[in-house]
Parts: sequence; C-alpha cells; structure tokens
Amino acid sequence: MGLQRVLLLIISLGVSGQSFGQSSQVNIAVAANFAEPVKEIAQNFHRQTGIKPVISIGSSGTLFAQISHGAPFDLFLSADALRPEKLVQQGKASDLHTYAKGRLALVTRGKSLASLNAFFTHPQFTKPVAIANPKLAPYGVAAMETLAHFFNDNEPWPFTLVQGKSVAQTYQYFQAGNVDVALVALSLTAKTQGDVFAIPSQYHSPIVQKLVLLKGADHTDEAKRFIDYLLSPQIQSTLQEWGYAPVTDE
Amino acid sequence: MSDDITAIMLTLKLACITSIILLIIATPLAWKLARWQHKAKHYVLAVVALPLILPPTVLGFYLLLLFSPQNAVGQIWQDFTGQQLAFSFSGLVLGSVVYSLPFAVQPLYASFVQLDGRYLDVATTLGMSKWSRFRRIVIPSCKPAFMVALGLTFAHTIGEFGVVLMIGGNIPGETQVLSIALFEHVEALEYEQAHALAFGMLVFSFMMMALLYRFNRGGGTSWTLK
Repeated sequence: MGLQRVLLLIISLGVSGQSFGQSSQVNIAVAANFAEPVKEIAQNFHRQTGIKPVISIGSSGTLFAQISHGAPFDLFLSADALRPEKLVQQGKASDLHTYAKGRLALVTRGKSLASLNAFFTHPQFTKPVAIANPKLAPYGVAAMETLAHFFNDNEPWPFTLVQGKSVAQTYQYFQAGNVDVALVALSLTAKTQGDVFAIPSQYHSPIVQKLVLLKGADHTDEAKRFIDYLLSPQIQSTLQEWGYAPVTDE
Repeated sequence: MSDDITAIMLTLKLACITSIILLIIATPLAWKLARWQHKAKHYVLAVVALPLILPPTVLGFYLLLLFSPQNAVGQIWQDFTGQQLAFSFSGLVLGSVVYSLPFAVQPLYASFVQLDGRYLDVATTLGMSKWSRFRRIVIPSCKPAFMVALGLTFAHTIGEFGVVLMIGGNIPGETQVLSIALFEHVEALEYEQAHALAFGMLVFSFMMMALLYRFNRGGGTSWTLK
C-alpha cells in the first residue's frame, strides 16, 4: 500500500514536470542581483505576449555549473560577462548580449557621507567591511577596486574584510546588523534603512552583465522575443530605477 | 593551494574543539535525560534532536540574527571580548556546538538508557562515590558510545556547510573552512581544485564511518550507531 502511494507520487511528479517542456513559455536562469527587476519585466512581457517566463534564481556560478551539465533553461542572465562568454566558447550558447550595467553602492548606518575619502581614511575607521567574494561576484571585484583607491596593498588594512558568497548575502550581513559598512549592488539598496552612497563609476571597471541564448533550448523563438523585449529602449530606460545603468550601445 | 591547506587545518581545529566541548556538555545532559521521567521529556528530546532535521540555513539564519551586535547575545559577547561573534572563529565553534549537539547526545543517551542500573546499585552499596561509579562503571561499559559520539561529532563538523555559509563571512584562516573553500572553487569554475578537496573529503568520510562501525558494539548486525 505504501509502495503504491510512493509510485503514484512519482508518476504525478513526472507528469507535472513535463509542463516544464511545453510551449508558450520561456525558462530563464537569472543571477540573484537581477531577480527583482526581471520578475517585473517578466510580468509585463507575459501580459503583452502571452508567453510565460519561468524564472530560476541562483548565483551565476551555480547556474553556470547547472547549465554546463544540461539544465533545461532557454536563457541565462548572468551577473558577469565571463560566464556567458565561456558558454559561447564551449559551443553551448549563442546570442551574447549585454543587458545591464551594474552600479556599486556603499551602505552605512548612522552617519551620512560627506565624501568617500573622508569616510575611509578616518583614523577611527576600523569596523568590518562586507563585500561580495571577488572570486565569485563581479560586484566583489568592483568593491576591491574601489577599496584599493583608499588603501595601500603593501600594508595591512585597518579593518576586517568580510566576504559574502554573493552580493545578496553581503547585503544580508548589513541588514541583519552584523556589519555597519558594506559595498553592494545599488539595485539591492532600495528598501534599506541605512544610508546609501552610489559609488561613482570611475572607481571601478564596469560591471557588465551579459545574457546568452542556450543551445538545445526548447523555446528558442520565445527566448529571442524576450531578449528583444529586455534590450528594447523602453525597458532599458526603466533599469535606472532599479539601480542599473542602461546599455547604450553594443 | 596554500589557502586550501589553511582551510583544512582550520577545519580540523574547529572539529577538535567542537568535539571536546560537546563531549563535556553532552555527557551530563545525556545522563540526566536518561534518568529523567517527566511529561515534558518528549519536548526536551525534540529540541535536542532539532538540528538533525532543520535545514542548516535555518539555524545559520537565526544565529546570524542572534550574533548581531544589535541583539543582546551579540552585544554581551562584544562587550566581554571586544570581538564580534559573527565572522569569527568563536562564532563558528558556537554554531557547530548547536549544530552537532544531537550527534553527541543521542549515542550517549541510548547507551546510558541500556546500562543496567543494578551495577550502579551494587557499587553504591559497596560505598563507591558518585564520581568513581561513573569513572569505573559507566565509562568502561559505555566506551563504544563515547567513541561514536566523539567520532560522529567530529565528522559532522568537518562536513558542516550551511551554517558556516551563513555566519562565516569567508575569512581565510578565521572562518574559511574546508566546505566553504570547496564551494568557492566550484563557483569560481576551478573544478580541478574542487575535485581534489571533494574527493579527499569523500575518502575521509568513508574511513571515518567505517571506523565508527568497527567500534560500534553491534558489530556486523546493527546499522544504526548508538
């Protein structure tokens, strides 16, 4: 009796799982920092075209590993340029496009910022600073480049550098009150109770977020329509509200 | 690679300290629980067993909030030590002790329950003190359970991931343990280094479990460690 029930469960799971492969939808894997905007964009896209975007959120590294091993996504919206380019090189993807440019922000608690320089070089500045792991997240690389403007590589920095596995976790460290200073994506800071200071883009190399169309996608046409929609001037102009710089050329 | 060595050493240090602390905590706790009869006992047993079934991220999330200096626990710790609890080795030890508690308590509990009370009664009538009864009767007759508790705690702490991911902050030499280093290699597409660590961990875990089953009194017949 118990076995029958288990079998029934497996069968019903298998049946419901098949809807994943049916038409009129597009399966999108998206990096965590872009999850909120893509949800809203997807809703509007669904309303206009009738195509339903199914969204899976993860870190770019995890999604890349899953895609490399045959995960059934049609589109991959990465937080960086490296991973989509790598998929194209490996012949697993095509249609490489830049879809957004990220902006870095400093969030602090309790004091508003006059200037970055005054903030970081203050002699009492010894509090832990949270950044995203630069090996994993492009926002972490940008954060390190920004800090390198104020601190010398040859001497130990006066604070502990705490690393989150993603820019989302880094922001969580700040929100939960475990650090008072964090360098995160501007897109995350909309609802913060801390003070936000958008880092001028000349402090770091651009955070270029690229997307690719995956080979063997079940919904190539739908995916291409979504790409066109996302890159359209109408959508790109809304990205600023989310804390991204729009893609102007390319 | 040197970062990986640092991570391995740190992980071993964490596992050793956690195992010792847990043995000190779990022994009297298991002893009390084994002798305790009360309506509320189910609830206490359930609380001890919670880390077995809770996703480690749940535990890590609450620890992160608890460790925050905005909270009483985090505040008191910071006042006493001058150090922050989250993102520190001490924080990891505390997290690991909570996380591995059932792995230490349960084998000891099972063994203490099965221990024949008559030996202790006889010893009492012969005038043995409480401490020497424990040292000369309980410890020798429950020795396999102590080994299993120690071994399971050690192995479980080595494999700890979710909790550390939440409260660690990936600081080399302080909170970057083996599983985190492995995760970083996978995410950074360094599959070769990831393989080295992952395979090493697989072999280690296998040997550890095989050793524990050898120690287990059930010999070849029992699968559950107790």
